[in-house]
Amino acid sequence: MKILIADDNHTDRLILSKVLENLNHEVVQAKDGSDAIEQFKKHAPALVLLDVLMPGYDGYEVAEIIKTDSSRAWFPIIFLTSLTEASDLAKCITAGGDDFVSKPINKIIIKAKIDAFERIINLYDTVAEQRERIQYHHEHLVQEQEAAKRIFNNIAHRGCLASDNINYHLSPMSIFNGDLMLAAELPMGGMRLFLADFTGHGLPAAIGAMPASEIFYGMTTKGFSIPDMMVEMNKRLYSVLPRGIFCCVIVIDIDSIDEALTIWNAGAPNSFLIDTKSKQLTPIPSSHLPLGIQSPEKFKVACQSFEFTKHHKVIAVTDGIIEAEDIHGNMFGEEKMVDCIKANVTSDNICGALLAEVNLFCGKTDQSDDLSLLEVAFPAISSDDILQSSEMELTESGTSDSELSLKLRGKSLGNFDPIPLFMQTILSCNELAPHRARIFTVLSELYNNALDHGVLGLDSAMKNSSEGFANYYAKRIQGLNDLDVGFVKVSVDHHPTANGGRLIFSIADSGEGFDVQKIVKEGVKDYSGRGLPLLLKLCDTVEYFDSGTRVKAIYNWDHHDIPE
Amino acid sequence: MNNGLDQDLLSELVEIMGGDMQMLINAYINDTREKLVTMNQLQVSTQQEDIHRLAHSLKGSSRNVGLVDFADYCEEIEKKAREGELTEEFFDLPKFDRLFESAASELAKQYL
Amino acid sequence: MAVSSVTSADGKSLTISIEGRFDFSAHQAFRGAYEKVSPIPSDIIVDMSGTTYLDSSALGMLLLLRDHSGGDSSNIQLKNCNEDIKKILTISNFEQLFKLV
Repeated sequence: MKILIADDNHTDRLILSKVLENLNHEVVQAKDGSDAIEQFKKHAPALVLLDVLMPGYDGYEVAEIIKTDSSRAWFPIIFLTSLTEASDLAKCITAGGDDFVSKPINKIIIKAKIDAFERIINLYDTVAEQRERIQYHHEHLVQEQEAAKRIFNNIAHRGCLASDNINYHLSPMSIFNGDLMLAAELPMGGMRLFLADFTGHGLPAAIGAMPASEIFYGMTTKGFSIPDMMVEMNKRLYSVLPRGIFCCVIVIDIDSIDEALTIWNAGAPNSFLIDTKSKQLTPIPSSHLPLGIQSPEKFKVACQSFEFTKHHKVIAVTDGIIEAEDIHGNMFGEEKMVDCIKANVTSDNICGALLAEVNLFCGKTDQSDDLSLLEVAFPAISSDDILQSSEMELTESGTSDSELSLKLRGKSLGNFDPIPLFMQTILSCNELAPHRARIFTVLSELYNNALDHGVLGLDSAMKNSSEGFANYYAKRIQGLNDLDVGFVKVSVDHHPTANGGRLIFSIADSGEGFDVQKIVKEGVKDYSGRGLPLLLKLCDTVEYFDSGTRVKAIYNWDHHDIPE
Repeated sequence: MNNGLDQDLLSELVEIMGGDMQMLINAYINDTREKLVTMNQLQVSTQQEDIHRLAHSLKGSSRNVGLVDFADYCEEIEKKAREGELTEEFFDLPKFDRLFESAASELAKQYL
Repeated sequence: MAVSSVTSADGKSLTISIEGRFDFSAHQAFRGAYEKVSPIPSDIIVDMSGTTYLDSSALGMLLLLRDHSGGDSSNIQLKNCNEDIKKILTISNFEQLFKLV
């Protein structure tokens, strides 16, 4: 250690210096008070030995001056005194000294004291170094979280969370708590919503959010069903997330044309379907392990479906709201949440009411930092809106002159959705991009009719009541599970024409058929929920053959006639 | 004891100072001589405090170098002067010088 | 939070007990309780009679335990869970992975 010795007595100074040098310390000498102060500033010693009686500044005054130099880390001062009165010795400590040693100096005692102080100095140095390291790592961590936050922002703000029919609160990302909320329009009208809660904070959540959102947007715009999307998402998260990290999700499809809600809750608290007319709340509990836990072979999705009209709403939450605590550590809980929803059931903004209630309960505003909730009403999308164009550039022609055919039989009808495949193939002809929504509608309409009503024999009239709705979809799932025989054959043929092109959709099914004339005559809008009228509106011609088991729809398009 | 010197202490001091013993003895003898000159000029009647401080300082350094008799006398002077009770009779300057010089010459003989 | 563990005399079963809150602070202790036992016992019991609270990081820890004990072929019982904890396990459908006793 570097030690400063201040003593006006030359002999004393010399001897003490030698003693310390013999102990391998580096010594700086000062011959009086002012010299001591100067040497202290110049050499920054680790320890100071101060004679009390000195001319000019005495030891006490020097101690006061150098101890208040805040630029220095802690250092000890040992007074050298030949005074023996207890009061004089005590004054050494009260004057800012850390210890005293009596003259004549005993070299054994001085060594012991210096060693003891050296241990304390080492301790301080260790603590200071650790503090610096922690500080460094903390800053590093904060930077990483900032980056993760920016990535997250880019993900979450694509999509249509800003739509009029949605009220939501998403935890601010200051501590990045792993909640992800996404929304996108469905190609055939309506929207799909996704609320996810990744375990852990910070980076594990960001790692999961990236593939989850890519899959969400990619597959939703292509019209993949919820089960297909969830299989893909689980597969990806299962391989990407570390064991022990998983993702609770709620996925909701709102079909604005069919007036149906399809929902799947895996590991999240109850979601609620609200009928604002009857004021009834239907809880939708978690029915599945969260994503990322089950291997792809074991993963199966079963959704629930409900009627969903203009006077319905759905509310989905993550566990943040249930677990929000007040100052006594009591949790907000589901009961309070349900009561609040019931009390505000006709409000435009139940989400806002819930937030206010939570803040009141918790007594401090930062509790709402840690919860996410989603309130969705019926989207204001009419059948005209689905005829909007997309934004893709018109470039190559791809499949402008092609035919694709696929026949699905038996169990494959339940296991494979052919629509995305056909859509992708058709849209490889980029000129068709503005027609995407219409083509999708026509194709899925024709296919679903063939499957639901043709092969499965389901009666769409069932969908007219709420229980009937649930019944219908339950029967559909059952029907698909039980299917051994039967088929649907889909073929899409595209020819270029002088002005553009012609798409011919041909679908055949193994069902009983139906009385086409009767249906057309009665103008039943309820047929297949969307109605023959819609098909007739979108296509140039629609013809039925073989007792209604075969249909051919023709869609002509013109280069110069881009749908608005 | 030899001329008022504590030989055991001096041996220990040699162990500590090693090759610097000569330098130390020189420094001590010169410093002390200077101080004694000052002491000779101080007035008992009016400068008891100064005498007290100087005697204290002399005592300290002399003890360190083993000049026992000299240091003891310095202590007596110091104590009396602190209470303001030092008298002309007690303040025996020649004795002071004598005690010092005899010890100093022995020191010089041994270490210089 | 305190984690303790006991291996049966024949080495076939391991009981891990958790007192107090089962949350992130239990991480090291919980892992230590099963990692140091070799070979891995065929039956594992997590005794939650004294567990007051369970959060998602605890669920993660249970998954790690399951993974360590053979994944799908593991045999892990969650014993004496209180109502709140049972509820959390049910919402997460963890009874598909662990036996609730």
